[in-house]
Amino acid sequence: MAISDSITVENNAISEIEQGKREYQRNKRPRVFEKIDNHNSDTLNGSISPILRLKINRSACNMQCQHCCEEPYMTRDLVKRTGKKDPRKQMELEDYRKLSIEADEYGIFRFVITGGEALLDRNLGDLIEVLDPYKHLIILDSNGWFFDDEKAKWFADKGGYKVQISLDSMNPADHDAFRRTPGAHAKALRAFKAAKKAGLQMLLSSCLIKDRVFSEEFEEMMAFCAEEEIPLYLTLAKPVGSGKGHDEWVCTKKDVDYLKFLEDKHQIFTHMTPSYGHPGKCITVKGINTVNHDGEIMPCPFMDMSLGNVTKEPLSLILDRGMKNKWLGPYRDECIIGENWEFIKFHNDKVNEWSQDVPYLPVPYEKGFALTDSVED
Amino acid sequence: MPYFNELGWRCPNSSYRTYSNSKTNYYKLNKFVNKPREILEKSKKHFPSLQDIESKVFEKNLEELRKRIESNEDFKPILNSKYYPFIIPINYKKIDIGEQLEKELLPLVERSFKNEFPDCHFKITIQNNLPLCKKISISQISRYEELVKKNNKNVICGFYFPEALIGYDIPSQKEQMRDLPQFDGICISGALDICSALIGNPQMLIHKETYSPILCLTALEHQDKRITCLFKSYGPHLEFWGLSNQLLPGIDQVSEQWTGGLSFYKVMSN
Repeated sequence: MAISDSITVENNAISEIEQGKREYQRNKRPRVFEKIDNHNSDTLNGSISPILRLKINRSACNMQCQHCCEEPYMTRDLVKRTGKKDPRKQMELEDYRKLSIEADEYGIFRFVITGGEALLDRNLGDLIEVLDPYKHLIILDSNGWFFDDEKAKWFADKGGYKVQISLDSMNPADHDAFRRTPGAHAKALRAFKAAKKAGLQMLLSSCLIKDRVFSEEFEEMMAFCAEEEIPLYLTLAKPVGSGKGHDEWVCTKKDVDYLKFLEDKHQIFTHMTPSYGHPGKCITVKGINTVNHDGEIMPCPFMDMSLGNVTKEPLSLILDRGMKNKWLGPYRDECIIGENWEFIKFHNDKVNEWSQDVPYLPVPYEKGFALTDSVED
Repeated sequence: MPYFNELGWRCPNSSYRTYSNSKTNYYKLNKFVNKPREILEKSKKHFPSLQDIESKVFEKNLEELRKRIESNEDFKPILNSKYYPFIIPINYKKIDIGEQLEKELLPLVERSFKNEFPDCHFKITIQNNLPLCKKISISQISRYEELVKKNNKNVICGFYFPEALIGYDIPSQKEQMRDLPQFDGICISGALDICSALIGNPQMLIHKETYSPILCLTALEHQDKRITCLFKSYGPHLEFWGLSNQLLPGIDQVSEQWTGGLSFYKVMSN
């Protein structure tokens, strides 16, 4: 008896969709294609090629979302708490240019530009240029408010690859209330149309709180995405940032398991869905790292603890340090900041301890991750 | 110093590389079904040649083996961990182990799993698309070869102890047959035993509340030494992977979740 028809050992590590995208990049962005190809072969060596998620413009934002993990970094919040904006030196274009070169040498091929709302940054065009959109895929996070036809065309002309638009409910009132911004839902829908018209890759990014995956509203969202052919990307709500204290939002394994059922039937995924020939697993360091405004690198979009500062140390050193950290590097299936309460407690305790004396996040490496074990210990 | 602690976990020493000095309990196997009759019936569905085996004979053989482990002071504590009975039909033909895995064992694991969980998937992914046929050999230090040889002439029954080496890196898992005391019928777990255990216990890795360990087929070696064959759950689904065992270039993976198993077995007798 042979293995069932749906499974072939020889060719299923990379999905057909991924293969199609790679072929497109071979012509459009040969260096990106080369890096993806190298990553595929080097992955057996333990090489990684994580997304670098750049938080820009002091995370300025036009919305005030209930679940936002970014609020403590925003000037408006810092002014409220300390009377002044973050005094630390902020990343400048030259720093990003250097980062782009280091990332390219490391084999990294994806930058996500985020905020707050990244489109509020007047220097966004210059930033895209120094990041080099033909050596890297430039992906934009947006709440869609400003992403009209003109802006979509501008982003595509700049070499932008994809836009990730947030929509947290198909119910306009719920979405607007969650984002504390009347009209946010309508603007997000407009943004999808604009992205499509401009020929951009796109996805719908939606925050998933406990039990939402079983709701009628969620079914509506999946139907909308299927109809519009928009991949649905789900972020699991985390008890950090503005969500701190909202333990009732945290998804259980029941939610996450059901999502894994749905992945087989719909084009939906989370940061832990198998991709690029890798199994679904925690993506700390190896999947997505956030670069804070001041250059501190956090191993996950939802962690407020640093691995080191890229304006002071080489990127490769920081990433290797992260991979050797016992919480962050070794393989584990669960999302540690979303599901592992031992880690969540450690993380939140360290953030609270640090925040008693210093109002600025993230917690520096020496005061956080350096206190945990390394695989080399 | 005892070889196993009170949880049935192999006590590490300084020559081994482990995730932690103590057995962690975050990853949990599904319940241990101590119903040999049930396991035999499930196995018979997928191994037709076992049809004539009677449940009482299977139970008697397992009990003999269990008592032999229990009476051995070195190995007795391992019975405190979860273990899963298995039965392997005679494999008369000498077949390439990779081909056997790919063409025979994995399809049977799939069939058994889907029989139990019809809405779930069973997927096979080998990183870098490297095939299994003609690419797999048996680790010389695993004592797994003895199991294969005995299985060429006999039905084998036994217990798979999946968590005996949880948290050990792959090289340290392999070292165990050099360091553990002799026992007639023990090996580092590989394909025949783990697949048979999964066929009889398809629920093993499916846990509603928690994540389960990742089962390494440590007795097998891929021609590409960077690949380890393993079973893992993906939520409610079961998957087989040929996965990189490198954490970073030159540094072996050492994971709280990855586990190597020990299998205790005997030739079935009437």
